[in-house]
Amino acid sequence: MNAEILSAAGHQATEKAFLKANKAFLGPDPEIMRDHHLAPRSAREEKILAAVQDHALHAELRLQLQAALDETFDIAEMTVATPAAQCGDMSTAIFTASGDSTLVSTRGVAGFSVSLHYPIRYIRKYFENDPTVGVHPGDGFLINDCRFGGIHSPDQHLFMPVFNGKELIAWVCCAMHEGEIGAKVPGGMGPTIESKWDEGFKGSPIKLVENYRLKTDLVTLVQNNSREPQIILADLKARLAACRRIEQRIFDALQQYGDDAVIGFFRANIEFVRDETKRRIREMPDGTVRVRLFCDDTMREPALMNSSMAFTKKNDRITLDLRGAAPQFANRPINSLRQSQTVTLLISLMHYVWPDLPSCQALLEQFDIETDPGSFVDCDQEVPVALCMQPMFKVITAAELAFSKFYYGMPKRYAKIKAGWFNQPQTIIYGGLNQHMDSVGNMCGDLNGMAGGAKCDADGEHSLAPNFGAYTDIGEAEHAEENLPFIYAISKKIWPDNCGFGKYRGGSAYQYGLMRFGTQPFGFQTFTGGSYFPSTQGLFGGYACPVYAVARIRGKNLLDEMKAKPELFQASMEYLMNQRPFEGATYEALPMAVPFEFYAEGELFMMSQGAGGGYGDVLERDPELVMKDLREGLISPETARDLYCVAYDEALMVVDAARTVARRQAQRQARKARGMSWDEFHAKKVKPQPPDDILYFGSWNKSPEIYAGPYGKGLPGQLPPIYMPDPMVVENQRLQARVAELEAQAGLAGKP
Amino acid sequence: MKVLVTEYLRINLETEQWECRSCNHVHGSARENYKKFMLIYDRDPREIHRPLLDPARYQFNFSPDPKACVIYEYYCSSCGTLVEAEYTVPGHEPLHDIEFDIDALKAQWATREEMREGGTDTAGVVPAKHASCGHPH
Repeated sequence: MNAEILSAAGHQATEKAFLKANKAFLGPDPEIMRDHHLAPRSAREEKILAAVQDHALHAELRLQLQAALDETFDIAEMTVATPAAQCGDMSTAIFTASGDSTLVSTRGVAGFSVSLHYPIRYIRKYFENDPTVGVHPGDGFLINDCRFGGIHSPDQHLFMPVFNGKELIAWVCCAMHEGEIGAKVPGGMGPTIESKWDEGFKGSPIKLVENYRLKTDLVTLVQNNSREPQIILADLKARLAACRRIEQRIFDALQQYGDDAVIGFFRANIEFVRDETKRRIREMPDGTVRVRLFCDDTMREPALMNSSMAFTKKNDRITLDLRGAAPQFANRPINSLRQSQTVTLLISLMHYVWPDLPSCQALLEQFDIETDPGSFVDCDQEVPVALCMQPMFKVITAAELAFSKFYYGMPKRYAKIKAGWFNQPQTIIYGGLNQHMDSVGNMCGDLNGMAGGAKCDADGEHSLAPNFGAYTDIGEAEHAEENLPFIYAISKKIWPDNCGFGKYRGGSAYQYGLMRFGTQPFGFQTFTGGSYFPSTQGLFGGYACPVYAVARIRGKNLLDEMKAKPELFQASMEYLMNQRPFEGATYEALPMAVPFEFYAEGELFMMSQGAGGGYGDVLERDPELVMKDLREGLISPETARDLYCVAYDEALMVVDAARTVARRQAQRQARKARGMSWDEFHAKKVKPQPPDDILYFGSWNKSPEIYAGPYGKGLPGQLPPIYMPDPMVVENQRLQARVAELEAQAGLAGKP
Repeated sequence: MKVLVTEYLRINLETEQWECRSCNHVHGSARENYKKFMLIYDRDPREIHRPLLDPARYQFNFSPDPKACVIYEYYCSSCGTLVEAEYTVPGHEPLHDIEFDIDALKAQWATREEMREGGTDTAGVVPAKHASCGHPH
């Protein structure tokens, strides 16, 4: 040993170097996961782009490769087996060698792809030079743990390096919502997931493909961690085929245009998006727009969790400030990682703010994100994140609303000014044995039936697409019925007042009900919020969506009842629940997070998709449009009369224009009469702390302290771990107290 | 120069005042929260979002919980237009949703032409006009 090693400093340095080279567990890398910015130009990119660039050639390449991605998307969509991806919940993309996305398929969920720079950077940092892994032509990597990238664990993504000879020039991917990953409950998502160990298979990047072939041992490992092993195999093959097709299209482009043109285009496209974004941000007014949103259910109990956000634009940068959010929950699945929140901002920018630009990570380059580490929007690695979509989707809505306010007065906009899209993944997750007695656990495509927000010049669309994707599908009821042991007893039925009211109304959405058919074990669950507090919001005086519930009828085989008396059944949730036509059955309405249970044959599980927010003052809605809504069953007569203040002949459905004007004028006067001044309102209505009768989490009235429900309050980072009690224990305690109370009243206290 | 900010609000850059786009009422300083100049009403959300299921039978009936949710409605004090509907928790202070830098706005609009309607988007669509709106834009 030399003198340097023997010195204290030398010893420390040696120890540090040893530990760095011999990590016991590589794990997610915060240096990678907390950085959403682009990689610097590589030496190769620098050399190519130093020369004069042919922008017409870049445009040609952009169109050609975009077409290739859309082609592979369509092929994969038609060959996959998992229901979500069959409904378009997937994406294909091309990345630079450094891992920055440069082009993403037009359709589907671009968010899946644009979050894959994280695992690509991880592979390049840790695996590329590791002789036990390496990166070679024909390799393919699978990832599904969002702690390494991606969105949440039910999403599984396959991505491959693309080599030109020995040079790594790009990566390609086929990403999709797989669904079944062997979690505590079917489908990988559920209210009762209370630990990261309940989340099922957690795939860090795994080399599942070598020499363009799936490795049987590792495929078997992934299958062995799923309730749907056959579907896992089918989808891996579909993804591999899609990646190979994209790779081939890149090879075609290399041959046609040359290496420098293609590699230069990959980087130039990113820099074009970055620079154009910078220019557009500079056009916007400087200042701050704030959006107040709440998650209202931990998935096991009602609670208000502050999810408010502020967007501050200064010159050519925007800061998204998520501070003040609720603290993370140690035993609830509602937490989200910082990178997940960041990716969701990108989804909103791609779909609602600058949809004309190529979808890629560069859209985020001018953004900075501020969070409270340890909050439920920047949680640590150890808490469950299976339902991270709750806080994530709030970012989509917040960005929609904030950019509508930034952009309203701008001479040039790049998308519609609009109210919030519906923002809950409202669908039924099923699990059990299907009609062929195979194990299944997945979701209904109805998740994609979210309604659009009202626009500045038009009503929102009904059940058009999920807020996180474009041009997707909701699946065919008949297709599901052929395979799964249920029937759509109520299918895609619009119901009145399920829309955000306003000068332009938000889109409506449909209710549906699954009735169990067959006697094999099979069950349902749901996993969303929005049962207490409306989840999406209106704009400029428009109202929000309503709240939602699950309704179920149990304890009777309704199929048997209907055989005897078919007239008892009507395909309407409100009729069945309010009229209760099946004697002896139990009728329940529950919040939207319903834990998984098996259901017997003939039991009925009902819910509704959600509506978009409204735009503008209801008193400005064209009375003829109000009549049209009424005729189409989109609103109730009470809403037409009392909220829109339209006078009409109820038999003929003809507007009385004069009486409508008078009624609306009277309503304006009534508003002025009941409205309070700012000072009076503050004196009478504003309180220094949250209400005592609700569980509240997060800052209150800009307080620096974070309220933590039963745990009091504290500054960010100083709160204890938030462990919520088991709802069944809470209910048991309530019942025991009630029994004790009744026993005391009956004089039985203390008696055995 | 007047800069449009919302469907019902604009800022007069010369006077630095918020103005109503429906009735031209001058609300107050554009350097402050416009809501300070509105009339405010805390609306029970059940009045807007009526129950689908029988509330006598079901707690969860598609109508918001008034313990958790209230709607702050902001009205123009002159014409009664509903300028904003803010969903919040009972007792929370009103949100300062739009806080633009007025000096930066003046500099930005020094070289722009005044607009009387909202801008055009990439599809070239402008807000439709409806006779029933009750105000001129």
